[in-house]
Amino acid sequence: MLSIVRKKNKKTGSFFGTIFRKKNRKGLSMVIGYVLLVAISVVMSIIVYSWLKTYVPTDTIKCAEGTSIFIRDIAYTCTPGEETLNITVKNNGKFSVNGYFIHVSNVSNPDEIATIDISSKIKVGGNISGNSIVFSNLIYNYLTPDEPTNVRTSSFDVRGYGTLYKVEIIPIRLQEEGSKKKIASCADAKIEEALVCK
Amino acid sequence: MVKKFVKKGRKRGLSPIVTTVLLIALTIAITAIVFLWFRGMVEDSVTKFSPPKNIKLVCEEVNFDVSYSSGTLNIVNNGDVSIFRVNIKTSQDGNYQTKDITDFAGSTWPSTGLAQGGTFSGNIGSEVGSSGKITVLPVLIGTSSKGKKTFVCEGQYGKEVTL
Repeated sequence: MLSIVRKKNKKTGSFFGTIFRKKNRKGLSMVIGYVLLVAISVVMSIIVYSWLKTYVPTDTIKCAEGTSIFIRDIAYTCTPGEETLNITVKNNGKFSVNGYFIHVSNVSNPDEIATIDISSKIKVGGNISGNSIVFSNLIYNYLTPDEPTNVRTSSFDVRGYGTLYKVEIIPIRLQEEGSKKKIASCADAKIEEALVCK
Repeated sequence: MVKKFVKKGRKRGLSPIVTTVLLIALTIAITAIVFLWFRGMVEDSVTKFSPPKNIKLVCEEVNFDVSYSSGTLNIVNNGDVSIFRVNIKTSQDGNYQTKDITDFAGSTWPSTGLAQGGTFSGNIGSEVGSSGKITVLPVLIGTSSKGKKTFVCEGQYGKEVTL
């Protein structure tokens, strides 16, 4: 066996070299090998990147901190057949707002959250946009922190809900995301007020 | 003996083309098998919004309030993420059971879910009445490679209500 190897070494230089030369296998050229290697690496990198990118937290529409409104005046009329709710809100925050979500509760339990949406019952003092009240038709934030546009009164027809005990208001703001304007709900600035029948 | 061995080594065997084709075919087959096996183990990634964001991160942005009184469950979506559905996790004597809100008898949960500022009020007392407490887990809807897919947010994003 050893003698065969030696014999081959004499002829070709090495035993393995002999085998490869004898069979004359070409395989892939170096260039194609590198091109394939780079192409596979690039494709795998793209796949892994696009997958991992979804796990990276990105900026989302979020209401600016410091947004705040308060209920300056509230008048609840509960005369049967003429139930009306008038609410005056004032912007006392650092940023303009454009409207609010408004919910009322007809349950006397103060711990129960208000779930009756009365935005569709607005009579004056705003426009309906989805399930919210807006003051400027989604163009700009109307209710500014400074006068004279920092106060807005809205009136709602609340017939058919029974006696109301609580109102909850969540301000909304128009926020720019790229070139689009989107509504951001200011949950941290949510306010509530007990309703007392006049 | 040695002569025989050397002669055997000189046999040509399979041609390079056949071996290459076989090699590629085997590689593809093994890759496909491993991929199919591995895909079953790895959960399908669900994303939401544009640019796509993993729905697990979106769960952190869900903001809602829950109250329960006299058999009525009240939910208000305060945040910017739509709540597609909610799962109600009930606990009784150390046993836990989770049920989709739409599976409750006579559920009035809106088919499109609760958008920004959306509210829900429904009676679930007959099914959770004997439980000590319930946990309301938000269910979001996102997009996966197989189309629309729902995702139940983990317990830390739920709201616990004592009955």
